[in-house]
Amino acid sequence: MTRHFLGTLLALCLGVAFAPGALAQQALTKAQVDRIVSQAAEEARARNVANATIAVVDRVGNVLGVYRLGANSTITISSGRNIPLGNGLDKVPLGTDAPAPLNGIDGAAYAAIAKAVTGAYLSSSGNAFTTRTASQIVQEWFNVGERGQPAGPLYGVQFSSLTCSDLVNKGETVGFGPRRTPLGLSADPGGLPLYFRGVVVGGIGVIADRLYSLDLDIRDYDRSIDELIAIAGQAGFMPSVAIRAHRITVGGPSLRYADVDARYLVTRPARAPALPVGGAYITVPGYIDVADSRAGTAYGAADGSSGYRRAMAGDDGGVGAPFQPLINLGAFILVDNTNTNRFAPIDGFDLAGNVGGAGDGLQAAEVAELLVQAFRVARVSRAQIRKPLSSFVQVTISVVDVRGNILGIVRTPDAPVFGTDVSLQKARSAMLFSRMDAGAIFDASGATAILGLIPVQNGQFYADRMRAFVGGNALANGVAYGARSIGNLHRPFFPDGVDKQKLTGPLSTPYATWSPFNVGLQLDLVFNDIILGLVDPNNASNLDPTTGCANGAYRTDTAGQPNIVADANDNLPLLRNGLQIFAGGVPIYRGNALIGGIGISGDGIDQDDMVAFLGTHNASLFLGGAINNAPKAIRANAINVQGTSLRYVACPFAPIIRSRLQEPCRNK
Amino acid sequence: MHRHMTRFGFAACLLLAMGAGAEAAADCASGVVLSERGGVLQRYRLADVPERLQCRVNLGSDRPEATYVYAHTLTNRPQKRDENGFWHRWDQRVETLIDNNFYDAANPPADRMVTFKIVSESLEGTSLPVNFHIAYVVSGALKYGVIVIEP
Repeated sequence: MTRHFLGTLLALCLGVAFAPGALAQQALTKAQVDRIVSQAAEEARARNVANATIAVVDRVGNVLGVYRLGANSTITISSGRNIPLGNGLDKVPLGTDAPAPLNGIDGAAYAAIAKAVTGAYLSSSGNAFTTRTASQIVQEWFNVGERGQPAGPLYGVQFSSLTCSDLVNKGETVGFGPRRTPLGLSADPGGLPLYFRGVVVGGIGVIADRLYSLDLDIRDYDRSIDELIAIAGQAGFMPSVAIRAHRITVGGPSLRYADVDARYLVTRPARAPALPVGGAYITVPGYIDVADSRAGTAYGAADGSSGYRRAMAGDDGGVGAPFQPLINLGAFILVDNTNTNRFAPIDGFDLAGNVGGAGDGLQAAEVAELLVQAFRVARVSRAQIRKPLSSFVQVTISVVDVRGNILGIVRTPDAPVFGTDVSLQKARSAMLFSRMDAGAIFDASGATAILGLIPVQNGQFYADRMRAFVGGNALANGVAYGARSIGNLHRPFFPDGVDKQKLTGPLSTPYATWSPFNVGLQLDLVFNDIILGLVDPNNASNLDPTTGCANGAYRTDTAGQPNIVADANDNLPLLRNGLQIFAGGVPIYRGNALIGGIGISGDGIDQDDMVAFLGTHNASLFLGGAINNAPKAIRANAINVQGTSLRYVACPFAPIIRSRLQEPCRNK
Repeated sequence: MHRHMTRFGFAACLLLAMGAGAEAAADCASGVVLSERGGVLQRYRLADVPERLQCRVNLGSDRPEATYVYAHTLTNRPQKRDENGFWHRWDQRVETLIDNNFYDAANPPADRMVTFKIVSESLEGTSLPVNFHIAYVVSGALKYGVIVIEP
């Protein structure tokens, strides 16, 4: 037993002292939704805003009301980088003035919902983030505009919780979460979290400026009308100052919460009428079926109405004792409308098509051990973005097999909701890229643009670029890619942030036409899904959990093998909720055989990496070496790419609370 | 393989793509057609689900080798139906599906219509949404369609 392992074990034992207190369970009432909307509407009216759309959601993304002042107006997605139409989603108009059939879309409502969901999903009892915070952490450099610095830590998070995801719940009634968001997560200022008695109860999103954009200049303080109206709506439901983004640092820079505050309002929100006036509640296809407000769900309530609750006896899916530590440690699980654990541990497929113990596939007990060990690592590790300092890491943990099937998901109680979908994306992404046949899978995916005026590259295009950039055998040589490694190759600059070298990552759009709305492979895989999700959110492919993103109607062929050959829909079926390109996922092996992936998302990307990597490492130890991290020789950091190395994982230097353990991932 | 499409393809392609996944004009009562691309055949709210949920399928010239019914929810536990109407966990392998024998090859229906029985019990207390897939194999190809039950 190594010294590092002893240290880790000690820290795990100490971690028992950090048992989380029970989260208060709060839900927005219908009257509170009316008040929030009324406060926002009054500010908009006082400012003579012609058209404004205000959305309120609960913490898990249920839409509780969409209110419209003035007429429905066309919005335009725009990065503000003067990139013309024809480059991803940049400059795409949505609404009445758009070309058919995009003129049938209530773009403003969708934008407002996406902004509200983002405010709710990125926040927790330990951090309050906004869409302006999101803008800061998804751009090509972090901090924004600091050339030479690596990209934002959540680069790519905008394409998560998508309409096509097989994980999210869909529909127009209030139900279990997490719910989808029509435009992914938003970086357009004007989306804020809502708090009540110290816990996140939802989010508010506003769009009045007709631009769905982001903040390209962090140095100034804007007077965004969207943000002003949202600030008014948030009055009485604000987070503690202590947990707002500007009190949190990442790698030196502090984050940005908002560019305005209540001092800039022209109304007194507390004096707003109980019910909004001057406009009307509207229905939004796919999201809310009543032209009214409604109450939200209480995150974590024992009845499972929010889709999240604490694990209890009977939630183990039959795996028994291996799951018990999660119950003892207060883990949260995802539940459905019957309050049943959606993702209790199950057996997984191996590459030969065998299930669990019939072959090399992960067995349910092994999945449970992975979840337990990853959870334990999180519980003793110091969070990056959470207050108070030395709070433990709050994350979602997802495990998948080599077909992308979900084998198990658990969470710490207050993990931000966005990480639910993102952790699964990371697990699948690391698994797919590490498959020996990854190149063939991409070659077979012929995703092309639905919008004829917008060229979208197919999987083969990117596979060919990988071969030219990384080596002719790329994606066919069994190299193990962490989500961080994939991210290294999916940045507009290679190495990450270094623009002087004038190299573009092979999976990225060249910088001349790059924007957060046109990133490269990640978007191109789901472009069709996003557009179809807007045009017809109740469409078959948007509701069928077996379909998922990347146009992937995942199914096995009649020989029982994974259907990796593109069908008429140009599938890329292993990524049923899309690709993710920031750190926090690694593949899982049995000896030298790839058997799945684990993805983590929550309170910091280095922490995500560590929980995934050490969780797998510790599970290996507890299982007597039955499963393991990728052998060192095949990890992505062992290959030379354009004269430099990729990163596999990057763990924090001294991350364990109340421990002097340093570099916990070193030599593992 | 086309990597780009022209402006002229804009509306047509979108509509084509939508049409591919959109619900058919026909419904389960009048007869639907299954395809390798699947697609939603019919959508119900829970309160509107008929007492006996079943679907008539127009086989056209197909002569199915096996007929299947299976179900997906937003969980990791898909189910398959057996010939007697009981449901079992399914590992998502087509070869482990159970033939429901809706099609009698010895006595093919003259009107080429086959009725797929799905459930005859109340779906109250079932994980929703649930997507029932009805499918058959013909010449090695799996043709299927989806019936969506929403809360």
